[in-house]
Amino acid sequence: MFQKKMGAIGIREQKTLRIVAKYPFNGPVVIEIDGRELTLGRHMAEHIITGDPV
Amino acid sequence: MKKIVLMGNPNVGKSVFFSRLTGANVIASNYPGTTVDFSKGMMCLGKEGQEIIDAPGTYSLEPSNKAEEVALEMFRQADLIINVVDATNLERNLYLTLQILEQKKPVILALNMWDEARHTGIVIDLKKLEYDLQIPVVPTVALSGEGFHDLICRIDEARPAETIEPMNESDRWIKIGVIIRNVQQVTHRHHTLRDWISEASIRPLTGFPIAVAVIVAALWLVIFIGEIFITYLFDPLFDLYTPVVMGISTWLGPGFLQELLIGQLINGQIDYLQSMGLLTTGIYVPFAMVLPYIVAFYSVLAVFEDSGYLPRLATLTDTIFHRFGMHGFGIIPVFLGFGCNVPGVLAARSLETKKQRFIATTLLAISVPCMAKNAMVFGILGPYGIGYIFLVFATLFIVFISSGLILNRLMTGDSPEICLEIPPYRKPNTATVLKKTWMRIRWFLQEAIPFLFVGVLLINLLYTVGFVGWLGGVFAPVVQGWFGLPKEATTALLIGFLRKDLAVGMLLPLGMTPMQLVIATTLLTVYFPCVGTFAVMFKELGIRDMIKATAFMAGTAFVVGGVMRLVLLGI
Repeated sequence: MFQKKMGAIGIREQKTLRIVAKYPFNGPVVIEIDGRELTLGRHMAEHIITGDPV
Repeated sequence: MKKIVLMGNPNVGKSVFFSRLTGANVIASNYPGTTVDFSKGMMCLGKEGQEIIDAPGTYSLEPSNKAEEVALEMFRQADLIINVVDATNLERNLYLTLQILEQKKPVILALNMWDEARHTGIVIDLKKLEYDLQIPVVPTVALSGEGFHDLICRIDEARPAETIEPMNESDRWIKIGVIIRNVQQVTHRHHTLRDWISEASIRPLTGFPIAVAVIVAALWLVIFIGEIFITYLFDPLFDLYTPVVMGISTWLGPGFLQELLIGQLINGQIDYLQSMGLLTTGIYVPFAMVLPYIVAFYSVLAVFEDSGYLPRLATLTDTIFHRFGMHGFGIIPVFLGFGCNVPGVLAARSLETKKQRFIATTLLAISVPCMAKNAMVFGILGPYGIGYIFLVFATLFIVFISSGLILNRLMTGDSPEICLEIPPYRKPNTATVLKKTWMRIRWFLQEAIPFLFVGVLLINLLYTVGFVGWLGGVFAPVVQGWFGLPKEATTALLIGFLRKDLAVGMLLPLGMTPMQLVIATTLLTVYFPCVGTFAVMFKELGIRDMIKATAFMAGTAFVVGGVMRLVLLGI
C-alpha cells in the first residue's frame, strides 16, 4: 500500500531524487523528483532506499 | 444526457477547466486539495446538453482520503471521462490515465499547462501519444482557454482504449516508461530565480523568517485595505443614508414598526451598533463593518492561494501540527477558516483519518474566529487600543495550541504523516483573483444578510416576550458568577449561534469595561460555532463525534472564561 502510494506520486525504483530540505525534530523532508518538490513525513522518507546516483 | 467527468491528479487545473466548459464558477487555486467535493454543470455539445462533473483530484483509483473517495464515486458514474493531465509532469500523471483506460470507459486526454511545458523545455509528440494510448489527445491551457475549441470538437472521438487491459502496478510503470521514452523529450534547463525563491521559502532556516514576514504583511494589508474601504466608501455612504432613515423613523412615529425597522433611538439619534433595527443595525453591521474586511481578506487570500505559497507554509508548520495529531496540511483549514469556518471545515476532508479531521474541525470551531467576527472585534475594541485586540487573539492562540495538544492525547486513531506536492510558484492572475474574491463576497452576502435579519428580528421578539430577562437569570451563575460578565451578555451568546458579528454588537449597550469586552468577545468564539458551521460539522463528523466535539467546546469555554476572569479581572 505504502509503495503504491509512493509510486503514484512519482517515487519509484531507479528514480533520481534530491533532498531539498530536512526539518529538525524529526520534521518532514522535502525532496525533488522529476523537477517537482514533494514534502514527506520523516518516517515515509526514511523508507525510501537510496543508492549511488547512476 | 451523458455524464462527463473531469478526472486527474490534484492541482492540474480541473476546476479552471470546469469553469471554462460550463460557465459555472467554482473556486480554483494553486495547491493540491482545493476541490473536496464534486460540482455539476451543463455544457451544450451539438444539440444535446451534457452534464459536466468536476471531481476532486486523485493520484490513483485507490482512495486515501475522503476527497479521493468522492473522485472514485464520480468515476463510477461517468459515461465519458476528460482526463486532465499536467503536461509538465506527464510520467506521474499517466499512472491514473492507465488505470482509467483499463476500466474501458471512453476517455479524451487534455494535456493541460501546455504553455508551461513548452517554457520548461518539455516536448511531447502528440501523434505518438494518441497512438500509444489509443485515445484523442488535445493540448490545452485552461487559464487562457487555448485548445478548448479543439477539445470540444473532439469529445465525440473519445473512446475506450481497446488493447489496454487491467494490469498490475509494476507492469503499469513499465508501460509508462515505454510511452515516455517514445513520446517525450526534455531539454535540461538551468536554475532560475523562481527555483531559488521556491527553495528559500521551503528550507527551515530561510523559510521561517520569510513566513513570518509574509503573514505580517498579509495581516497588515487586510487591515489597511479594510480601513480604506470604511473611511472612503462605506462611512461616506452611511452619512448619506442616515437622514433617510431618520426621515423614515419620524414618518413611522413610535410603535411596533419603528421598533422593528429602526429600533431604539439613543439620545434621539440612530446608533448603528445599538439601535437593533432592521434598517439600522441590520444593514450597518454587514455592509459598513464586516464587508470591508471580507473584501480585504478574500482578495489577500486569493493571492495566497493562487501563488502556491500555502503548501510551503504547510511544510513549515508540519512539525508543530504533528503535536496536535494532524500534519502540516492542517494549516489550510485554519487559513480558510479565518474567512469563514464553513469552507474551513470542508477543507479538512483532504486530511486522511477521522482523528485528524475531528481535531482539525474542532480546533477551527473553538479557536479560529471568522472575518465577520474579527471585523466586529476590530470595530468594538479598536477604540480602546490595539492591546485589547491583541489579548483576544493571544488567548485564542493559546486555546488552539493547548486544545490541540489535549485532543491529540484524548482521541484514538491514526495520525498519518504529510505527503504533499509542492506546486511551482505562479503569478496570480488579476482577473482570476478578482473573480474569485467576488464569488466569495457574493456568497457572504447571500449567507449573512438573511441570518442577520433573522437575528435582529429574534432579538426584538425575545425582548418583547421577556425571554431575555428569564434566560439571563437562568445562566447568571455561569455568566455572572464564573465569567464575571453582566448576565444580559447571555443573550449575546445565544444570538451568536445565528451570527457572531451581530452578537459582538449586542455587547456594546451593556456598559462593560474593556477587559470584560475582551472576555466576552473571546468566549463568543470559543463557546460554540455559528449555526452554518455547526450544520456542516455535523454532516462531516456524524452525530457521535459531533456530541464529543460539543462537549469539548462547552468544557473549553467554561475553563477559558474562568481563567480569563481570574487573570484579566483579577477577581
